[in-house]
Amino acid sequence: MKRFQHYILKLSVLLVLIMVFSSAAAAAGKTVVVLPDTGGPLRDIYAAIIEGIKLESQAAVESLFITEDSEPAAVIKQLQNRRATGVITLGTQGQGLAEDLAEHFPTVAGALVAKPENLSGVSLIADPEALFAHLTRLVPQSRRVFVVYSEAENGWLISAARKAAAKYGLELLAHPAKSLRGALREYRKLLIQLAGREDAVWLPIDRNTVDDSVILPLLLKQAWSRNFVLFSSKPSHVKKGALFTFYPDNLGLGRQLVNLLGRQQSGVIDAEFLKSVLVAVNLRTATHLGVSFDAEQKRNIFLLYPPK
Amino acid sequence: MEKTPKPRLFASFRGRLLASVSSGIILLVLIVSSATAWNFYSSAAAQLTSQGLTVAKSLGAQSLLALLYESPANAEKPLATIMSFPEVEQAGIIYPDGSPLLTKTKSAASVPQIVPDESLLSPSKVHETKDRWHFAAPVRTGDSDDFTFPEDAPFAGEAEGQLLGFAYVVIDKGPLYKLLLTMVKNNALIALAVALFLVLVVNLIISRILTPLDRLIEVMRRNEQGRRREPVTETGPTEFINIARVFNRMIASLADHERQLRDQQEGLEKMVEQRTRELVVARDAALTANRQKSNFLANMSHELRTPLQAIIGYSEFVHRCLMKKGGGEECADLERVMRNADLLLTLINNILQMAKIDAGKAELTLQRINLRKLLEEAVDAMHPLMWKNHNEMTVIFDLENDFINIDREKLLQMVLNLVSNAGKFTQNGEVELLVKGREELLEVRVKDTGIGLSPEQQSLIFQEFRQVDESPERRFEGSGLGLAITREFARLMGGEIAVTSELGKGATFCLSIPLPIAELPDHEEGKARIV
Repeated sequence: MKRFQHYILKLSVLLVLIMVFSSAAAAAGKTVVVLPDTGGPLRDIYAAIIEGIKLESQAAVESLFITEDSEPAAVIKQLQNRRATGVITLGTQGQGLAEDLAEHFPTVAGALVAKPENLSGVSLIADPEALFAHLTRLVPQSRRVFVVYSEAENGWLISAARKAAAKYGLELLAHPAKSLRGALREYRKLLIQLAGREDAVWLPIDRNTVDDSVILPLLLKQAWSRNFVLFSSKPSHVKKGALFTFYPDNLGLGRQLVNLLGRQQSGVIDAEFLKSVLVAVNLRTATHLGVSFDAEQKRNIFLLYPPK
Repeated sequence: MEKTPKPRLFASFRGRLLASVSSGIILLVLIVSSATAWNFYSSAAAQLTSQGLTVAKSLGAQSLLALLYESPANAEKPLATIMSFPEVEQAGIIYPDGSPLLTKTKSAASVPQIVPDESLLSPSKVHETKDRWHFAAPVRTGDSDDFTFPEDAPFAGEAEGQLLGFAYVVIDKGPLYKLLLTMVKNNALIALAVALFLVLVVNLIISRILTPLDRLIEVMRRNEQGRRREPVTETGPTEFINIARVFNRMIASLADHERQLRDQQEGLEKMVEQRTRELVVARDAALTANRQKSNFLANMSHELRTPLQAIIGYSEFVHRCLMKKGGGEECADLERVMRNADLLLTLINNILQMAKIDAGKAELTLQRINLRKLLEEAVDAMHPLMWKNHNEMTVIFDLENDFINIDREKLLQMVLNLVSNAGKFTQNGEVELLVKGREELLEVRVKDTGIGLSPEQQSLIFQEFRQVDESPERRFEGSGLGLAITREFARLMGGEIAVTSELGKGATFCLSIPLPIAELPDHEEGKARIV
């Protein structure tokens, strides 16, 4: 009899636990990730972001693929059918729908190149704070950081960068330019000022001021001859000779999106830079500059070029 | 001699077949050659177009620095590289408004450029003339940003860069045309050589195929010439075998028919020979019999005439004696004897005449006579008969010349026969004798108003021993030889006699003798001889 009572007790505890978790899940709701049905490297990147979302989110996570022809109304209806309590859009296509979705659901946009307007979202652009933190950690001698940018594309980044630079004791010398021709003129001027490892040139992702066939070769040649540090926000530049650059930490981006969605559900609209980044270093350039890495620093490096 | 027609070109089966197949081969080869040339041209044009686009793109990629610095010096090297391509006739780097930063050309005069549209997003063919292609590649900021690395994929945006200018390349089509022309020439030569070879091969093949047909034709020709019925060997293509088979069947059938015809001909020849022999025997028998009959008649007539003339002579002598003694009833009886003896003599004379005619011994004795006198003599002889039957006789002589050459006795007998017939078959009527004597024709027409002749009777009266009334109770005397003799005499003289009559309305006999009378050759059998 006691044994029977013991089983009844165990079963009751189990049922209570199930009910508790079910109600918690129901309370957490459902997060639907709206993303383009694409192939290639983007598919892997989006999969990693969704993995990060799933790891961070307490709600159930589902994916909803869209195409270029998807109508906002149809997507909204599908989300309503799925009883979505929060929406995370990925990529430029997702951002195009996000403003419409935001009227019906708490929505944040992720994996963006530009700053989202009137929308909560996380850009792929690395947070300047992380950028300068890595710079000072890799090249402690750094004092001045030069950057040529276009206000249209990177005005918000530079204003944030100014604050971050001050935080890390760096002087950010930002030169605005409207066109590549203007950027070239600015670079010709500032190249005169550059001297040694105390100076660094930062290449942001900016179509108006950065060009892989003109600007990049010019700066790489000058950096090599004048021994200043050239780092970039574009991942592939490290393969071409920049000292270091950043890879988005896609898992971290997923987590950041979940957190932002939580804040957005509380009524806060905010556009954030990517806080979680991975650094890639060109060892050949580092060797040329005389930069060495200790074990701790090497642990924080995601990729090394050229690969051994 | 039958004229051989001049052979027409391609008239023969071989010629037509060879012409058709050769035309097809040449056409096919030319089409293939043309298609190959066109295909080559299309491929080469597509390749050159692709090359032009690549060159323009490459120049565009190398033009960025020159356009950024607006420096022709920076453009020199890329343009020199581009101009080293043999097909590139002109290359330049131009600003968006079309003004050149630097242009290089291989021609004496620069080729006019087309200002590309500023919305041009990728290297394109902006213009094409008969001689050239014009390519332009836009040079934009950001175009050279490389987002092909997988790690850069999330940063690839859609914004267009700023248009700095264009890389402009002109590709000359001349080398392509030269190459095409060379290829067309070579293709044409090769095609013609191949076509010639194929035509020769086809000719050989056709000759081999048509050999059985030639053999068939040769055998047909030999068969046509009738040397012998020769079958042909059944070889070659199915159609020729079928023709040969049909021909062989036809030849076999023909030979069979010929054999049957030959057999029939031989049979007929034998039959004809037999019949001829029988006919000859029959003819000889008939001739012999006729000759014997004539001889018999002639002999009999002669033998009868001699005692008859003796009877007549002695009867006349007794009659004259009785008349001198005063006549009497005996005299009248004797006159009856004499009249019947005369009739009998006339009959015998007529039979003798017919016998001569049948025996082919009738002869004409032509002599110059006075026709008028002969006719008057005949009329005088007929007056007693006319008086006896109470007929009125009219005589009309229409003579151009009284003298003609003719057989006097036979003419006299013919006139007497016709007039005496008219007088005999006419009672209380009229008899008209009309004689027309012309230089080329003598016509004697005797017309009476007597009993006339039916058409059946008209067909009988000229036959021997046939009379109009052959019943035992006939009213008219006669031997039935007068008209037959008259017709035979007329025919002997080359003339003819005809009758027109209607029963009960009299008759008209017309005797026509063409003059002069022809002298018949002596050897003509069955005809009279001229004496």
